[in-house]
Amino acid sequence: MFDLDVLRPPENVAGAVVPLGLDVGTNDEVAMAITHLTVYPVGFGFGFTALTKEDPGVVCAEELAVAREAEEDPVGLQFRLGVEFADGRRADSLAQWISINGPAMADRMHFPSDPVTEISLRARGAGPYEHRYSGGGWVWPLPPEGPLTFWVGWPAAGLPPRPTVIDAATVLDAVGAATALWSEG
Amino acid sequence: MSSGDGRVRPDWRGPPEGWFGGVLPTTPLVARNPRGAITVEDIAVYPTGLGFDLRVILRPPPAPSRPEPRKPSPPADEQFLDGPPSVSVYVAARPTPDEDWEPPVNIAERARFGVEFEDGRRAWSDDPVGGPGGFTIREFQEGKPGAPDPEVNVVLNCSGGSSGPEFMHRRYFVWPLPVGAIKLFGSWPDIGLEEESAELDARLIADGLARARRGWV
Repeated sequence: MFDLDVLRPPENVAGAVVPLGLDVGTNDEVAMAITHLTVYPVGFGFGFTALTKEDPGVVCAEELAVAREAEEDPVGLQFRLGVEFADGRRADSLAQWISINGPAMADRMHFPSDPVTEISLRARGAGPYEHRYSGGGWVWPLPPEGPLTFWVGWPAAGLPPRPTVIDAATVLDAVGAATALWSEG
Repeated sequence: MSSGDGRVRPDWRGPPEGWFGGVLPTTPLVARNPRGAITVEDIAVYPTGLGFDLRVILRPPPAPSRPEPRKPSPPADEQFLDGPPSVSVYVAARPTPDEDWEPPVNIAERARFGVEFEDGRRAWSDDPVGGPGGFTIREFQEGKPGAPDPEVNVVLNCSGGSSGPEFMHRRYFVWPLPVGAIKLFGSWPDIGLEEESAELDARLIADGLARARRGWV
């Protein structure tokens, strides 16, 4: 039996919200931010917003045209969200989970279960709607102490992935503020 | 920005273009009983209003203990759908005192949610424009002229979501930005949840507004 906590926040808990407002990539046409964290006893979510001045098809037109002319696979230009723990565990929105003990993605049937060696990121999103894309992700498990890195990039819009680092204590210190909606029993 | 029909996009439709909201460090519990709960999450403050997610859920069943395959005599309140030992599926009964009770088939139409300003303006999911004037979102969508008045109206505009028999998520935008506190209220008659409320105080909202910022200077 797999643990549903890997896939989504526990249903019976109200997460503790930590406002962030981190700029994770801005150019003349696009502005991206990690807006906040929502922390649970087993993992954390984060909110993400991308603002565009024009519709995404217009913003990405130039980079996509270059790729088309060079006959390159445009998959590398997709928007990507990633998370990296201090111990080296990494996950991103294209490779949903990665183990530091082996090539988990090589085993399609593998489901993360070890919170010490594995990591999972489930990205979600809505939009774009009126020049706004709102989304985020659910990260399992909680990070170890040390730097916590968000990798965010939208190459098609001229923003290659770049790291933005916060202290994992920002997450860990908020765990105690998550509240159960119902007591057990 | 156009609303799609050539008209200028009105402020009550959603977050202002080009702005990041200032997120509030709170997840208000609007209403709860032993069967379910209504919470408001991801609240972001903009100069023109508040955006947030409404979450309505039935209380999840207790975390099942991992069953042994082919357990010979399951308790009366448990059910096993037996397959090969490695794929046994465990289903726990809902913790309800009423054995005849079943989950509502469409809670999206039955759970109610709303907002109330300090001056008494109210809007709720069944009637998303509060105050005088007769403006309606439906008539706006039909292309009819008219606009709500920020001095006397409040709009609770839903921009989408998802739902199922046991949950509902909705994204809302409240316009205009309240002067003072705002009360969030909700009820869910199907599970016996009477109207309860939570409040966002004026200071909290002001702090969120101070964190809102433009995407580009």
